Amino acid sequence: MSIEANGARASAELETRFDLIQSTAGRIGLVGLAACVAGAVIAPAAFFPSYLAAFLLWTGVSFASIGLCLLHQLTGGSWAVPHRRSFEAAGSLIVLMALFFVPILLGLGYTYAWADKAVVDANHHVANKVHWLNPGSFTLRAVIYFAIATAAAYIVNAWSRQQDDAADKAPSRRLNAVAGPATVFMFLTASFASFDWGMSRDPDWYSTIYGALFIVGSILSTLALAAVFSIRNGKYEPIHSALTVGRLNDLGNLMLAFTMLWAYMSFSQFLITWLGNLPEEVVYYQRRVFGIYGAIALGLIAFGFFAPFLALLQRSHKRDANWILPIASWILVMRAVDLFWVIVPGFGKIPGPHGEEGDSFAWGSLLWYAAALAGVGGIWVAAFIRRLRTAPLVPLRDPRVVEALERDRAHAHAHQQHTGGAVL
Amino acid sequence: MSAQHAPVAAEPEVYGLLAEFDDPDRLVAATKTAYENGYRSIEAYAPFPVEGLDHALGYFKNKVPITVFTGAVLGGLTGFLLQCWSAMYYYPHNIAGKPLYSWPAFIPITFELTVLGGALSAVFGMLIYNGLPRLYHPIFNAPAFARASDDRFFLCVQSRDPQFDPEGTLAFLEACSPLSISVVPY
Repeated sequence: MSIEANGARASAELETRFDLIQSTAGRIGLVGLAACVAGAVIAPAAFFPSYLAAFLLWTGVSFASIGLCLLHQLTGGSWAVPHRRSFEAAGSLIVLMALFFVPILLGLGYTYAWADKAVVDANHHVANKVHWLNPGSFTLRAVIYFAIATAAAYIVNAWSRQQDDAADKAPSRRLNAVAGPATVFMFLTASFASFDWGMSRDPDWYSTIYGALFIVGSILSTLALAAVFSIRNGKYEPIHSALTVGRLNDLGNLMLAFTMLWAYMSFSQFLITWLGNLPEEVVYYQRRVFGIYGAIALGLIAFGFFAPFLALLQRSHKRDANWILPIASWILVMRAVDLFWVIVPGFGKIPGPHGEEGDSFAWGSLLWYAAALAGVGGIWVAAFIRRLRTAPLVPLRDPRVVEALERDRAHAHAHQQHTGGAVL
Repeated sequence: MSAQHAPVAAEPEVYGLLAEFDDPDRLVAATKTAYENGYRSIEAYAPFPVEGLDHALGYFKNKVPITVFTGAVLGGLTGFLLQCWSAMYYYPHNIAGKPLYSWPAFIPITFELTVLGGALSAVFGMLIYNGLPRLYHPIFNAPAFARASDDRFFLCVQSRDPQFDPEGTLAFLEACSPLSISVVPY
């Protein structure tokens, strides 16, 4: 069955499945949020940093989804055809993430050392930064970041949907015109947001690649999530028709590229810090390479980089849903581990050369991290499905999509099993 | 000039039959039909990489990936061990108080030599597996073949194929409705 035949609307089976996902995710989300409230009351010092890490994982996906919509608008190509509407829906959830940002503002003192007067008085590195890092301007900047991201999300959502009903290509032309500048704005916004929200966990430290690293990691999470979502629902129309072997291969290639880029940037940051050996730079790694955090760091190298990298090198793996599904799920797990490792250690005591003990591993945070991932994630997924159902799953009048589908069709008769053909 | 060396006694040896197409998709379709009809000594020629042609020709597996992977691993190991040897054994030197075994500093060179090893083994592996360099190939005896590097697509059924039969193969190729069919002499 071709995608056009059913107007790219979700089939009855898919609607039933969406109902199920929505209610299950909603329930998991509510339980998780209840656990989060308990955590915020019982152990706020352990809870709030974990909540921040979970918040950044899901916010990253929304940011990256907007970016991928804009990128597809700029580059065209069939790689995003099965996922374009998912990216739009995920991008629109930036509004939901603004709501989930409120607890961070409420627990500012528990999350950020620069919000703690005692730390600021004792540490001149931190004291020098309070002109930028103070609750007032932090909140103001967060409002600006969310405003820019919401505007971008509105543009990619509304104009793409207007195209569904419009005979002429005016909405797409408009989208094309703003996509370039909007990409730049989104990159800067996500970059500065990650400086504020993530990097300022270590207010005595800085890294200029931090923003790019956050964005690359978020795009990787988004691609992995898109792979899991489309394969898990790939039995049903219209995803069944849209997700061909060629599109699965594209997704595998992108995940391979972003896994490599993430590893490359992470290692560059480490190498420059390690070679420079400057006290104000090494603190970040001193907090993260000893004890259990050190084991996690080694685990990230082995299982966050080498495992997916080697698995995705094989062309046959990239063309097989039975490989891509576990690989993508694994990448998501490692993304969650990575964010825990980056965010949770934060500003704390560093092990000294004369046997001074550093901060021990935050065991309690693990529980709250799981609760926050489930709470924010559950609501995120439920809202995502809800948004996704309000439009056809493939934007059939989008000129980029029309182009891609025509090219696929022109080649399909000559080599069906090569690029065409359903995955499941 | 005087001697009448009449070539009637022996048929000239034939390398194969060459069919000419003007469209990549028709080449792929014809190749696929040839493969399905049991021809195995077939070769296709196109001015640019045609998607799906490799599978149509029956190349489902080739040795290039494993060659490149081996070359990359060997290159990476060479890079890493070379640095270990020079920094730790041959020329031990205290640089900024770093340990002699400074593995993070070795990674960029290791990475570069991994890429170099992979690239070199890809290029030379490609040449070796393709039997290059090769000074003579009968396919160039076909009159129209020069356009294989311009805008024509060719399918050659070689005479060494056990199924090759001058009349039968000619009839088969005619059924694929090519622009022309030529005999490729040795």
